[in-house]
Amino acid sequence: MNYITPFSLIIGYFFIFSLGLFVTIHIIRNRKNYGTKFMGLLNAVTVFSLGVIHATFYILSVVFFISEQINILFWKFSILAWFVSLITTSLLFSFFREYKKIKSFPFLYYTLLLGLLIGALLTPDSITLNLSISLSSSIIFIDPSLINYNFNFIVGTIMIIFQILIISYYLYIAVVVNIRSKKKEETLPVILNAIIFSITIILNILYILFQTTLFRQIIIRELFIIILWIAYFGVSIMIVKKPEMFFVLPNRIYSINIYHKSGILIYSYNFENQTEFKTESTIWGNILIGLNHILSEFLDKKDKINVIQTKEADIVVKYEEDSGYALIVATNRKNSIVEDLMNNFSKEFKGKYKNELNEILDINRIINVSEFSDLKDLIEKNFQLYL
Amino acid sequence: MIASIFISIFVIIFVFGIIYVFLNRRKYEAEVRFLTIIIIYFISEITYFISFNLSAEIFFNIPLALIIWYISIITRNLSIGIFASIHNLELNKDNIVRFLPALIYIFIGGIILSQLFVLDSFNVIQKGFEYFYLFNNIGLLTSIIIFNFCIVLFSWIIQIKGFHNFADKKFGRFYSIFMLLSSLNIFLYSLHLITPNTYFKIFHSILYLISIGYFVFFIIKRPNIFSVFTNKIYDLIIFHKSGILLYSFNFQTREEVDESLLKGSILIGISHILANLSNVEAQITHIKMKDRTVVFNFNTQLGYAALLIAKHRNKLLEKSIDNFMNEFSTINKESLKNLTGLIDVSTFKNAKSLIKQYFRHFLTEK
Repeated sequence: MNYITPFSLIIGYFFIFSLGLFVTIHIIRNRKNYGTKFMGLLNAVTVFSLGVIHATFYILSVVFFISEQINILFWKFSILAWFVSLITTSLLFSFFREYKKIKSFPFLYYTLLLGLLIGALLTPDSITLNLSISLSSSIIFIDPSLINYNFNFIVGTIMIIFQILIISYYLYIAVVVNIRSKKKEETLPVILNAIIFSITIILNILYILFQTTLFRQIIIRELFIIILWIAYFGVSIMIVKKPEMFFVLPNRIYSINIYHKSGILIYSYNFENQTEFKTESTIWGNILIGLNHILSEFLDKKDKINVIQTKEADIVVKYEEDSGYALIVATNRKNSIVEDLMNNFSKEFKGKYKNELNEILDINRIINVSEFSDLKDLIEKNFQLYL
Repeated sequence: MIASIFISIFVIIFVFGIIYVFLNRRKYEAEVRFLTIIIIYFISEITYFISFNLSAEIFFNIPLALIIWYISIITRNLSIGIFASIHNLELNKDNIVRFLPALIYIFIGGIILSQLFVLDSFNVIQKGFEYFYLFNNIGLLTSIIIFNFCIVLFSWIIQIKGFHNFADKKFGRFYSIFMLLSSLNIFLYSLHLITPNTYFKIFHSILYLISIGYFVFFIIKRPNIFSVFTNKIYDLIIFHKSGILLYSFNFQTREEVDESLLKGSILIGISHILANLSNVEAQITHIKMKDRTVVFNFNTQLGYAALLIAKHRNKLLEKSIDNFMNEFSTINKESLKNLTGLIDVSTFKNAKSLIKQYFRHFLTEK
């Protein structure tokens, strides 16, 4: 019996398992760095499901033989972990396009296919185990090429359709993100990820397609896991080193304006040319005051404007009633990532200019906007990724 | 015999409903996507009830009856799944996990569909003049029961928690009664699947006909059912670029708002916006507030703007406001062009009839 392959797989497994655990813990501890906690959680689930659950069940089902039923059960669990990872990765991909704006159709299909897959896996003989040698003892270390799993027609078909849909979705998102992005180099990791994952998925499809032919002899399955683990290693490094890509790509910030409650523009910053600008900002200030005046007649005074949607951008408004100013950010789409950044910035702004803001709480006082002229550093510190 | 009676009553109710809606189609208005889903739902319901009753007829041989039975199971799950999903999504519109119930239904629906492919899932037995189906596949029976349980549970939770979201409370109360009938219906259906018993089957069919009859009756009585499920309009305000309020209507009181009530602040606001109108007109589409949305519509040629305060913005609402603006511009073209000197805003009182015409669905009960 050849022991090189199983030993290599086990060494690889321990490496991937440790990496999976490390990256999962790292993401959970630094979840705020991923834009929102939800984004961090989604990354952690993907990493854990692929590196820990899938890898463990895969190894248990191909390198060890316990009993036919148990091995098949482990194999089914590894399939489920694989598809759960694919769905969470699809969610992450969709967030590259637009955060928390999920196109419902792909995910409705995925959910249906996941249900179909689980239903099919619950049926008897959905997966059969073929052993190339006869074994006497109950738990044995085995050459993976001697242990093969055959899918029945329904399971095989569902898995193939599912994975084809996933590949199409990854590639579609990568192309859309690349076309939309002004800085093409920023989208390179997304494109690379889409291609690498697509190759891995294609190998899995080939394994299902050629399961009963001689092709299985050339270890497509083992090739699949090796390439998957290499890709996993690369992606893990990217997730740890570049958490900002999860919130920089889907968001664009055009400008930041701060208005006093009297409507006077305190400060304005344009991200497009990184300058302090005033012309258009004064208009928005007027518009905002105007809208608030009109709406206060018709609505509850507490019901203030959250976002003004325009054809080009979303104008997100954050009122700081205690300090008497409003922070207005023009962005491509209002979402919790932008709101978090605004909250942090506003907190620091209030802290830094506490005295100045207290002085102008009385609207009869003359406002000296030059007192806020050094705000540029604070903006560049909080929004540096969008510069 | 019993099957043909049930099917006949069912067909009469449906044909009557369809003919009525077709003849009065002008009264009904809904978004195309919503309408498509509703049509799919009705087709599933029709297919379900007919196939459910026909599958018991010994007139058909066993393989054919079994196929009809399979069709009845698939369409049953599809129809109640669609209906519950629409209800849950609409009432949960502002919730972050609004799609979750629908995803759970689709997920369990997928499991059921897979389980139906298992050979010999049913044992067909003949009792008297009817076929009955005993489940051999416990996985299939369990998944159908879980599916039914989830539908009833989630729908009730969302109905109770989201009752305040109904734009028309009378419609909300109607829906609660309909849900009660549907829940009983689902319960009887589940009992029939577990214990293929004639009484459960008959009770289920009778209750089913009552529910469908009740639903058709409400569609006839309330043609706005599809457009104002949870949406609501609060105010419509029209103002001229000079800052003058031309017309204002409150949908809650169904009364015009006297311009003298709109004091200082609104005029300050209008003048602020209009001073920048050239910048605003091409840009602002709507404003989102915590619980409301303000939809803007500008007419640059005639120099006026309409501001609609509603619960949600949707295509139906945008279409209504576009139609309203077009008509308002046509009939008031001359007056708007000649707005100089002393302005008589009473000219624009004709807007009320246009509101009744274009926003009739949103003039809900007080």
